[in-house]
Amino acid sequence: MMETIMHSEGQNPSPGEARTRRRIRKQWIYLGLAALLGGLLGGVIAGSDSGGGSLFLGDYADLRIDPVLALVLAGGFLFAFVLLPLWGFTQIDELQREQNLLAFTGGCLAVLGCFPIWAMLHAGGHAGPPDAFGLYLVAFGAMAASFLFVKLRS
Amino acid sequence: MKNRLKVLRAERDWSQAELAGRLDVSRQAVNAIETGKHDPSLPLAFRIARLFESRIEDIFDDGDHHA
Repeated sequence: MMETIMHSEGQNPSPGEARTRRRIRKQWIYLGLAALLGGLLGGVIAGSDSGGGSLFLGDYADLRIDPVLALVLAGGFLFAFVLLPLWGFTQIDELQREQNLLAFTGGCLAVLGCFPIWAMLHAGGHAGPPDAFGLYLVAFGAMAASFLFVKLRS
Repeated sequence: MKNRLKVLRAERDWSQAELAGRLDVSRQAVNAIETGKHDPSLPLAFRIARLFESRIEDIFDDGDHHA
């Protein structure tokens, strides 16, 4: 365990340790920025919805947002969920990239498998019809679970 | 894949963080390579070999000694 702790906690870390600290700091800034952006988007949606819906409870059909603001929010989600993660991929090392790709694979496989399974369960009267938000949650959950699994193994 | 990374690092009295910084990877990557849980890519293996002024096959052992 001692090896996991940096040698010099003093004011003059060696060049390699200084670079590692910068990498860790950069990672935290990225995570903070992502969380801030998520909170901002969620806050704006909650504050500007004139309907009775809720994006986070799956009731998006009743969401009513100003058309221009809706475009801005869509752009925000494009940035937060596509562009930022893509840029993030260029900033991480090969191990982290492998872990992230495995997590994405887990999420993708979950959706590919979940939809027909859910449809069959619905056809047999065991569940409601497949729902876009439900599939989104399955993808997100499977991705998070896959990431944790891969992280714990390495 | 077995490797001598931990030994080489210890010889220089480097922490995992120090080696990670010199290789421009995360400390977790160094740990995963040392414990054999991650096989480095060829470019990273070359970077490691250059850093320790060794050949790749002197650091990494794939267990195939028939080649």
